[in-house]
Amino acid sequence: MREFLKEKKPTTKKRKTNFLWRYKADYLFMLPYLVIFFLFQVMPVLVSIVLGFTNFNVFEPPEFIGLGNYFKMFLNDDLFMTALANTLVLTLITGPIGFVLSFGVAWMVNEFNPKLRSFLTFLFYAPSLSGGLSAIWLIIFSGDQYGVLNGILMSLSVIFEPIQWLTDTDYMMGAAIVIAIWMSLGTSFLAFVAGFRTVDEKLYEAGAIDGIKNRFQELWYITLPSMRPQLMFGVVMSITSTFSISTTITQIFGFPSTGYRLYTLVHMLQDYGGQRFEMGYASAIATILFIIMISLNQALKKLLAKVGQ
Amino acid sequence: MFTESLRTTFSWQNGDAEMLRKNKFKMFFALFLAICVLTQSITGFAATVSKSAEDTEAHTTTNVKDNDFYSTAYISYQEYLMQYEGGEVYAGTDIVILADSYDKSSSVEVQTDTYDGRDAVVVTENGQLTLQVEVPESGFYNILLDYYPIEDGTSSIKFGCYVDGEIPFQEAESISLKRIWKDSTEKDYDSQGNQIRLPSIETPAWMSKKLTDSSGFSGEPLQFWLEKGEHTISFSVFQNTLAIHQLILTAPEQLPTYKDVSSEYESNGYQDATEVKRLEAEEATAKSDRSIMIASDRTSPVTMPYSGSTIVYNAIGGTTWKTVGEWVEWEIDVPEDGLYTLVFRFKQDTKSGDVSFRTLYIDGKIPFKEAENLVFSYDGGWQTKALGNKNEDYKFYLTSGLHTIRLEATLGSYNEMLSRVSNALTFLNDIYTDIVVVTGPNPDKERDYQFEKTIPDVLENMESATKELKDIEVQLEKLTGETGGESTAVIRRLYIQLDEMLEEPESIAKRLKNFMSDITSLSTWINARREQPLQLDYLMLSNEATGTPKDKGGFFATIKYYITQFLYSFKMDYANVGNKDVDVEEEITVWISSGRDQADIIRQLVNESFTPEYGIGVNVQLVTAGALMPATLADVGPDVYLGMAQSDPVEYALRHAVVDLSEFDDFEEVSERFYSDSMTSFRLDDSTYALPETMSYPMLFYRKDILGDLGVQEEDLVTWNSLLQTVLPELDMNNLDFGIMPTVSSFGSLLYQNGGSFYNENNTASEFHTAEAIAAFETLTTMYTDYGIPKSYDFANRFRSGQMPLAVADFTSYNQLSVFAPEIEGRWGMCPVPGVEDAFGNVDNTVMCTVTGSVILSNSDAVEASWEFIKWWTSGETQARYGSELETVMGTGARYASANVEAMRSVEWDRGMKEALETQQLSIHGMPCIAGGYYTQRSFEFAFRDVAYNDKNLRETIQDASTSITKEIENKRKEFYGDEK
Repeated sequence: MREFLKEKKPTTKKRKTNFLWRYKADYLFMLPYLVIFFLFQVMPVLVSIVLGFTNFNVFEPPEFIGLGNYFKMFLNDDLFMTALANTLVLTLITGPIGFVLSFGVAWMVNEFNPKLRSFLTFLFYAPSLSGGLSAIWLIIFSGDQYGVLNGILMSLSVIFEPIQWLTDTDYMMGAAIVIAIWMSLGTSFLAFVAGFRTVDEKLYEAGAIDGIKNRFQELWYITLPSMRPQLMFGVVMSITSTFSISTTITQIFGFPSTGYRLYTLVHMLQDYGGQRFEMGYASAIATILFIIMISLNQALKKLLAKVGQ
Repeated sequence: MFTESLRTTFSWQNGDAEMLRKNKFKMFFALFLAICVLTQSITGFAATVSKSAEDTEAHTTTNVKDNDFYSTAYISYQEYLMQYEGGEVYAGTDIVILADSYDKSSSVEVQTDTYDGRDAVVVTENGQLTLQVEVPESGFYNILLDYYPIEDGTSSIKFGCYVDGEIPFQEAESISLKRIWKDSTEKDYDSQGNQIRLPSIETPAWMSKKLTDSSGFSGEPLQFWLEKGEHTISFSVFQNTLAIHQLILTAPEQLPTYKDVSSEYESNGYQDATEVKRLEAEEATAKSDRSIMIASDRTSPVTMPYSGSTIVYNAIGGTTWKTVGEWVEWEIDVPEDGLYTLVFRFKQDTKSGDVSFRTLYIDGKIPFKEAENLVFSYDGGWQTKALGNKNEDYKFYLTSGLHTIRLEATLGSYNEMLSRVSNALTFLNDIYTDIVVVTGPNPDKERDYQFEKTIPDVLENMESATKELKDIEVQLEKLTGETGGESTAVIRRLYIQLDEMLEEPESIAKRLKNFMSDITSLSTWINARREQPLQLDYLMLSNEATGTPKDKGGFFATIKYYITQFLYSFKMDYANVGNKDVDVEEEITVWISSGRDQADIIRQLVNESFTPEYGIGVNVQLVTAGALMPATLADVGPDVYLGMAQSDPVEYALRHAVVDLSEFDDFEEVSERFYSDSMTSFRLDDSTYALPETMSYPMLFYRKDILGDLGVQEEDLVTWNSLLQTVLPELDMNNLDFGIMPTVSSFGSLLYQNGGSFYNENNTASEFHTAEAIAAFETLTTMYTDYGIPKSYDFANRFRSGQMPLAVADFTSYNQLSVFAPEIEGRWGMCPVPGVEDAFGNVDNTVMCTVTGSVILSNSDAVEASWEFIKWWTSGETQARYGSELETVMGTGARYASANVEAMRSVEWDRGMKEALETQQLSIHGMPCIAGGYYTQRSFEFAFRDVAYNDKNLRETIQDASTSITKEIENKRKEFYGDEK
């Protein structure tokens, strides 16, 4: 059917109606999803873009102010710059590390026999299943002298005063990165594990004949290119997960984090939307966030295309 | 298993091509193992560390100073009895002293009145009544009071009993008298035919009661030793109002045994009755506490009455009838003269391997000795048993006509055991303290402390403690009839621990933490034993010929019952259980986000007293906390929202989303029922947008034992200056901590104490740059920077272990501690927070309070009805009832801190705690909420951390904070008020 679509592109209006009518059954089947997708995915984005040009206090009707929000954001808001910087730092550090780590662990797990593999997969994936589990870091990084990390370091005489890991601006970013990396073994890991199984065994044999010398060549020329869809999925998941790490940050570091040290764009969204009720400005921030994510996604897609070349 | 599967993993791999993989595989496997080990060790370590955080050692605990502030200073009742051991027990006739002969010079807050045709002397709260008595001969006496519980719908009456101006023993310090309640005899049903629980009615009547120990440790009425001659007996009332007609000094009663009684039956020629009579337990004619509730049992088809389809109330009690002293009374019309057996269908399914005790009163008298401690044994289901011992059922002689039967919860034969165990507990605590004196709070596990040489007497004490514990175990096993069971495991563990410590004294330091946690378990165990839950279905006067009816339904009957229930579960509309079809003019929707139990109680209260009275239907809905805002936007929100957080009403008000309550005519009148300042947070520009529901504020919690030991004086805790200069160094020297959370509320308290405030008069700018604010900020930050007090900690854990014997914490921590840390019961107290002294020596100890409130949403189309509802909801009566129901359902830990003065007074606090709370209530201040006010909290926190962690300049930092808050306020004012900068 895909080929057929490519062949006959509708050109005139009349043919278009015909075309729609001809495939009415197909469209009918697609309709439920399309409606839901439009209502719950596309609409909010569109509404948010529109609201970005208004002054909207949530309770009273919005008022159009043109590009006012964007001027304020880029020219008159230090906080936005802080949030942007924090977001980029977190994404650029934890995204790639998380991605590589997921892949590495998936590769390792793949080497075991099926029973052990599914067990290990479950073991590594379990943390992301139980969302509230990140609270364990509250105990590990507790500022109490009996917090796990403080306790260990103090008993080893590395430190003598408990460190406020979660509220001292010197340590917060480090702690957040550790947590983000821990969390990165999520859905993308699962996709990779599945991806390894989809690679055709024949390709390895053919590769061996064609002169593949070691496992890394095998990985680069055969495994990775065969796994491109899973890698793409992993990339998207990594990006979204580093952006969504803000929920965990709020849970662990409080809201807002001390000195805005871990204040990301998502936090800024919550701050303006939920606390200051400046929904117009919050929408503008959301639009920017949306643009950043889309462009990052595109850039990584291009990068992935180079895999195996 | 694991290694086996690994071996197979290895073995199926063969062939040259696989060799490469195999090596890799080994490498990965090694890596994997390493990771496993690492994770294991980390989590293992985490467990140890968090455990050690829990049981950090206490400092010193004995040698309570003879100072009222730190100790109770009274001897125990047992010691009192020992003091007069061998003294005669009075056996003469009653000595009656009429209350209106009271001593006018030494009595306060006393007046006379008449109730039910009898004169009464009424002593109001904080009053005192002194009576002169002429004692004919030296001896032990019981004191019997004829009292009248004046109807006020609240808690029991509590007072201290003084003999010649002194509290004779600890137990006399707080004596409580019960009220009389009754469940409504009418039955009411909801629209689906489910029975609705009607409110209990208070039915006051004159009662005669011998003074007893309210803890139940001494089961018999308290005996007072009085020498021959003139004495004064005074009652100082500290809760509710005491109305008495007369006081009677009476001879302690010697009850006959059942053997005596039954031989008397024989000599009188009494015959077994031929008729039987059954009475539903839920139709009790009186009960001592409103919290004893009728229950709906849906576990057995034999429970009467029963229904598979709807809710019927067919039993009484359960976990709502478990505290010592609580009683339920039935009136029974006995068909004919004769001997009856007394059969109960009961359920005691909470105390596994243990029994519940009740004392039986027939017509107000215990018929024989054995009836003092009737045993109701454990079973998962219902049991039908006649009262009796192993060999025979007890028989009771009853004449035809009306009689009353009363069961009262008691510790029964446990009372002595429990008081022995609690003495042992004190002893063990002392041993622990003595060891800690040598080893310090963190003993060096590798060091040999030479305990045999340094503390030989402690080792001896340990030996005698072991002996006592073993003896207690034997006695307990005799009582429960279970050897080596769960109920004595705690005691066994303790003496094994002690034995091992004695065998190898050098291991004591290592075992210290375990020892402490075992002591904690023991105290928890005692508390659990003190509960005596019992549920009753019916009672029956029976005879030998009739015997006891079946206790459980037959197999098929039970199956049928459950199937009916299951099928009806499809029909029942659970969301509307309890909602009545009443003709209402209006209906309002109320949202609450606190919890299911809370919502159920509110629904019940609405059905009982709101809808019938006001003719307004209320639809109570449980929602999640964040649901209100989206719902308000979509205009599908409720009319009323309960339990709104402190700063939200003003945020909503700024956006015109909530109704200005001060516009109602009777607002002023209504606002008088709350504590002053509890509405500060809801006020904006002379309008008020919410009525307060809960209010709490910080208090200073202290460990009597430890501070007493350190010689800290009460006056040292009055001002921050003396606290910082004398107490903190003392604590620091002993490696102990002082705790105060670096929150905006702690800072606010200091700010107001220094005469400062958060915002300027017009709420247009922050006041953090003022000299007062800087002084307050300095006091707070120096505690962390110069005195090194912990910046984060778990209050309850450190306080119970003694590591943090002094801390500022919200007064609701009281509830947590009383449930969570029973082992330090009586070893701690709370007092007002330290303050700042002015030039005239007056101390200002203002603290910030935290509140929640009820609001009416602007979208509501039933504003008047909603106003009626929140007026009703925040009224003293409703709040008091809500609080007591909540405590019944969820336990003391859920004690409700109402902002309503009247409701708060009805809560049963300990005497000292109550006084301390009342003192602190005089100086509280609410957190002002204004446009842009949310910036205050974060700016303060950032500033505090900058100074306390990173040594930033104090003055600059707080002034910067002030600037950024002011900037945000200006922004917001521009938005909401159109202010120009």
